[in-house]
Amino acid sequence: MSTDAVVEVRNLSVSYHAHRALNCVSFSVTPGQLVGIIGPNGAGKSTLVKAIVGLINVDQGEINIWQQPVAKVRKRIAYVPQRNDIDLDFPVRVQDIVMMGRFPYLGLFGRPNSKDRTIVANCLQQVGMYEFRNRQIRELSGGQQQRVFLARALAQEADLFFLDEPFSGIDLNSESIIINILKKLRDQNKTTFIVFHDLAKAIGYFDSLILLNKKLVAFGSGKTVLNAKRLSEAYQGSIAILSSTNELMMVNA
Amino acid sequence: MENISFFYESLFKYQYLQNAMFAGIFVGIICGMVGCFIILKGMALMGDAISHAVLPGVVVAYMVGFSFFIGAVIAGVFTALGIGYIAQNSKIKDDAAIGIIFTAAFALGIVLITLRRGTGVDLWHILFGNVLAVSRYDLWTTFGIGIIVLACIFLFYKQLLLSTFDATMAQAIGIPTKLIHYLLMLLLSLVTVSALKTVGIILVVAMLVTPGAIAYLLTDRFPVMLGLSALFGVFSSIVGVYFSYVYDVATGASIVLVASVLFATAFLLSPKQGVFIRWFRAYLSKKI
Repeated sequence: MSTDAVVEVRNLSVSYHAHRALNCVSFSVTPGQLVGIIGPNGAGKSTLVKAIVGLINVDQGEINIWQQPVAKVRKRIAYVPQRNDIDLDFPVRVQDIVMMGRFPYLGLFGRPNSKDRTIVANCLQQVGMYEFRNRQIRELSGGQQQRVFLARALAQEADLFFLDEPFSGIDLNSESIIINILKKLRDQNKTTFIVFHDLAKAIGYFDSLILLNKKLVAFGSGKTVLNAKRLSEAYQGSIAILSSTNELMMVNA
Repeated sequence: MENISFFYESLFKYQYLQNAMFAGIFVGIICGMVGCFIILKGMALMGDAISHAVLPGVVVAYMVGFSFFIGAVIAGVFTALGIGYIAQNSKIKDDAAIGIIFTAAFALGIVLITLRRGTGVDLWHILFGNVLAVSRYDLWTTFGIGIIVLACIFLFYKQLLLSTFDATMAQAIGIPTKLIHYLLMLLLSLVTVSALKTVGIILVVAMLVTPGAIAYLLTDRFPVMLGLSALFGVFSSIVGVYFSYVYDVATGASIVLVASVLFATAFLLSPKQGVFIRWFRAYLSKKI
């Protein structure tokens, strides 16, 4: 048990009704990392994130963030939900969404002031969406929407980020903008967890990988996690692995 | 023109018509604003449920002799709690839980009324409203409710906005989303009661949903939607009371029909999403 861990999970189990979604998951992550959460559909990837952020009830287990329960450090944690969980027809403009990242700082009845507006403009510029600040979100492409939600997380000035499937169905340009921002955050010693699908890119993007299939199959650097034995254990035949010399090639089935 | 000046004169002459008018205006504002949250949360059915379920509360209050505002609010909040409890503690989904609870409450109310027939509780007036019987006391109560509702929306604007738009993030940053949900249910009950006399229980949901839906078709900004919705609520009330007085038809239904016509107009002609503009665009793109 390390004392400098950002996120420490011990013996975490989660159920939906009678169905076990996660069983006895334990790991601990040190600051300044990009952590990928991978695994097949229904492996409990989103569930793990929701449990860490304290959005769902857990059966058992202990979760500490900076050696504290999550309820005490919420302000420093930014969570970006899956894009399909959000009503894209909602009457809000891009800048209104990013302003929501400032809400934790505004107190019970507070209103945004000029400092908050400057931060919002700044974050929109970082993700390259400032020109779109007055648009409604439905008018944007999937990648642009995802960048807006990243800008909202940036506006929260958090130290720990959780992104649920940020790259699904988005363009390559947006993906590279997002991953570059996340790498910059890592260089500022901030930590990001990302639920991720594309195994082929996983090694290049992440410092650590969590391979899940209802339980923790493997945890560690990309090279130790992504080997044929572990992947076939996690994906149980729903994946074809073609290994040639040092390169791994994977085909999702 | 003759009708309008006749209505205008009557408005100055008759106290009851003034009361009806003011009650309609207040109700239009607060129903319109609360309705925006209801439709964006996809809870129109919940609005319908709460409005029906206040019936037993109103009847018991009449029987025992305390203010029917209190009875209705208690019944409304209990209904919301009951629906939430069933949906969270069984595999029954929200819409079924709503159907079960509100019909149960409504049926209980009707049984209570028919048990005590002739005690001065007029089912017809509760169900369909009787705007011309709005007393000064009712008017002040409606005004008070309006102030409470507007104050809540103003004070908790960002909490309401975020938990309506993105409940997951709201929860993640520590906004008590369940409490906010029940606050909204409380506001819904309050609004329903205030609309009891003007449009009646059955048609309240129209005042909640229709003006908000019109505003939703016309704008992409939430604060503008709130304002427009209140405006359409007020407009429907005024024009509805006017038609009701001039042509001697039921007031609540008349108000609701005005709102419905406004909706149909917006649906067809809305500059961004209207049916006509879409036809027109399709026609243009075919020509090119």
